Amino acid sequence: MATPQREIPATSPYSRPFYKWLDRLAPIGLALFMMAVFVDYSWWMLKSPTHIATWRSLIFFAIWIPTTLFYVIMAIKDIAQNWNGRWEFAGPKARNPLADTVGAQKAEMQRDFFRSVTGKRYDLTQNAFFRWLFHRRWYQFAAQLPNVIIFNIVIIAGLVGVVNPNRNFATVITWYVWFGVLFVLMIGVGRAWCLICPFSAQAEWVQRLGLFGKGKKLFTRGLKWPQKYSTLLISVFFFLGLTWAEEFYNIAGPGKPAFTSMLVAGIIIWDLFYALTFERRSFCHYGCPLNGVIGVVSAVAPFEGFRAKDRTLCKTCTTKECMKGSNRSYGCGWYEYPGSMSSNFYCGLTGECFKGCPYENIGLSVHAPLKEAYQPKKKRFDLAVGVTLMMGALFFEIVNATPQYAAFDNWLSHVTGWVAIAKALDGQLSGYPNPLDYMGIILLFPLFGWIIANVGSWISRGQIKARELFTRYSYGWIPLFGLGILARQLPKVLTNGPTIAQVISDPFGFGWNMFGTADMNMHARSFAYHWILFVQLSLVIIGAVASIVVNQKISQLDFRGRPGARAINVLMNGTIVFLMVLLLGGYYYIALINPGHPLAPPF
Amino acid sequence: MATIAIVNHERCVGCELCTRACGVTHAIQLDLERNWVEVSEELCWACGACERMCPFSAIALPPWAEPNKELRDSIYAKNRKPKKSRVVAQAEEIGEEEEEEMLVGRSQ
Ligand code: SF4
Ligand code: SF4
Ligand code: SF4
Ligand code: SF4
Repeated sequence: MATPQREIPATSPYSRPFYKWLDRLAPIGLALFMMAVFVDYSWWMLKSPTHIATWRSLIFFAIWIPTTLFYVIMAIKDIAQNWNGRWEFAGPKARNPLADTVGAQKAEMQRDFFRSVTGKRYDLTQNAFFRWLFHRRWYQFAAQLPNVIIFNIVIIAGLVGVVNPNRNFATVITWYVWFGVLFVLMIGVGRAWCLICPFSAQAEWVQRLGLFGKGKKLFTRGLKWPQKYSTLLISVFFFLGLTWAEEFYNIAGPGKPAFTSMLVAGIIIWDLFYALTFERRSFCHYGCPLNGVIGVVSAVAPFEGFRAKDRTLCKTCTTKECMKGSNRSYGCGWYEYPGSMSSNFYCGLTGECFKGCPYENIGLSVHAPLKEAYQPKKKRFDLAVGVTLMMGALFFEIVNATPQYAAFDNWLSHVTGWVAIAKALDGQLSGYPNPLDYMGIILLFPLFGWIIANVGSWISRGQIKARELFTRYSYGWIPLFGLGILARQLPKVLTNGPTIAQVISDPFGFGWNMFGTADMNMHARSFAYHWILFVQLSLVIIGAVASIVVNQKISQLDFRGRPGARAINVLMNGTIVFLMVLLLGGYYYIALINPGHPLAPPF
Repeated sequence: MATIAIVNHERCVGCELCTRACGVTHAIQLDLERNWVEVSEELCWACGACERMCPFSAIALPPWAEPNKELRDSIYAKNRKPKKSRVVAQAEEIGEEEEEEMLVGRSQ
């Protein structure tokens, strides 16, 4: 079904000298910025009272010099190639007339699948500036670079910096600032974090042997990820594992910065391994612990990702540059095909398809939020299981703040002998939390969802399969999960966030003062401001309302006219309300037992 | 079970490049509801042409299968037959043959 679209204006900004020079100079500016950071840090390092030959500065320079050298060499190569407009877009090709006949027919046959194309939207690429920007090869690089620098400093800071977590760049950035930013990006834009992700950025630079250029050869074995393990659940399990490890080693809360550093470095090395072994971004699909969370919560965001504006044209396009790559772009790293994308779940916003499509048939639309959660016809079972598992993880994070849980966990650990194992791992560990009850709490939620789905199936007298109900209605949990987990992170982010002022001037706690803010006395508070509770509660309520809206739409789009649809709808909304009450109660209870809290008894 | 190409439903995006590649036996069909392709067991000769075509390696012969090279080469030969120039093809009316031509397409 052809979506009505405006003509692409014939004049585009590429030819104007201003844009040409911007194109040449922007990467140079970025390279200079990188050098400036390098020189600045090195200078402070040499100047600082710590002696130059200590192991600390050795680690610092051992990481700092090779990575920077690699980037500089690659940057020079790419800038030189970019100089004469090697990757310039020549202008859109004429539309294949078959699109209006055969293409339209074929798209019409899939009208039901393509239903997500309907509705109001604003296409950003109508705007000449965005079109110019997305055609730049350095579009993604410019977004990645600052982040890469920050996270490389995080690795170094964790290893060489002071142990006090509130004075260490690694802990403050990763757990206080990054988590907040991550959630805001997810809920606001979708996979915007993946656009700027430093883990994949570096791995991909190595894989492509270039920072932003389009080279001919890839530096990877390019193996195919096995079909059998092609599922989202891998990434969800890594997420659960990471959450557990984070509690176990007390990385976030706040523990030794070295653990944070090892975690980040570990993810990067692991990503590098994937990038050198498998093709494209297999790591993002089947390895990144954050993939599930980010993808799922992206459904709340009002962005639909890069997607074909006119699917009829794609139906007749035989070259498929968006997937395969062209001489000015790589094929989609995320295994996405703009011509049939129906959700922003796997769009990493890298913009390669935009550069690749010879017809300029790719748009980036903004539409009403939540749409991505209910519109897609194709809903995935593994994603549904993933959502329920992650909901379990969220509840675990709430439950584990209660003394009752601590007592129970302690008891279980002693009974099962887990304490001894933990002690053997590291003398300071208490073995908290016990993996058994951790998994137990988490598994309750998929089980709960499954039972509800079976009840629904029973209501429809077996006409609707439980699996289908489970798959489709689990998408309704997404907004509640997204805002609920944001609410969980909020106190930590808001109360500890201000320490950022100190650590950006003194990242390693060596007494530097790079920006003159090192002496601003902004201590982390030991407990949340009392109003945070109300923000948390409202977030949960907003999430639940959004979830109910999504449920309503799912009932309408997917189940209208099916037996028992009304009753099932009520049942599913009831589930959401039940989960909401649990969450509200959980947050309220945590606030109550927090001794410093003004609402704590007696009040 | 006969050895046939297997589709990875998690990754297949329904681009139909493999459908075009499988030009001799037409074993691959798009599932319109789910937007992934299905391989017909009777028609597939396990030549592996689709596997080579798919950009996302979403379709593949089972690892133990030896691709039927003769058939694959004949497919390539068929697809490489001299094509009408684009302009001529576009000027003509779109009939059954056109549709056929388009589906088979050119695989490179
Ligand atoms: S999926 Fe993970 S590794 Fe990939 S870009 Fe997103 S956050 Fe980074
Ligand atoms: S988006 Fe891809 S399939 Fe569609 S017209 Fe462009 S290159 Fe062809
Ligand atoms: S070429 Fe690959 S992705 Fe495209 S339809 Fe065939 S199997 Fe699916
Ligand atoms: S293996 Fe050959 S015959 Fe079988 S589906 Fe693929 S291209 Fe067609």
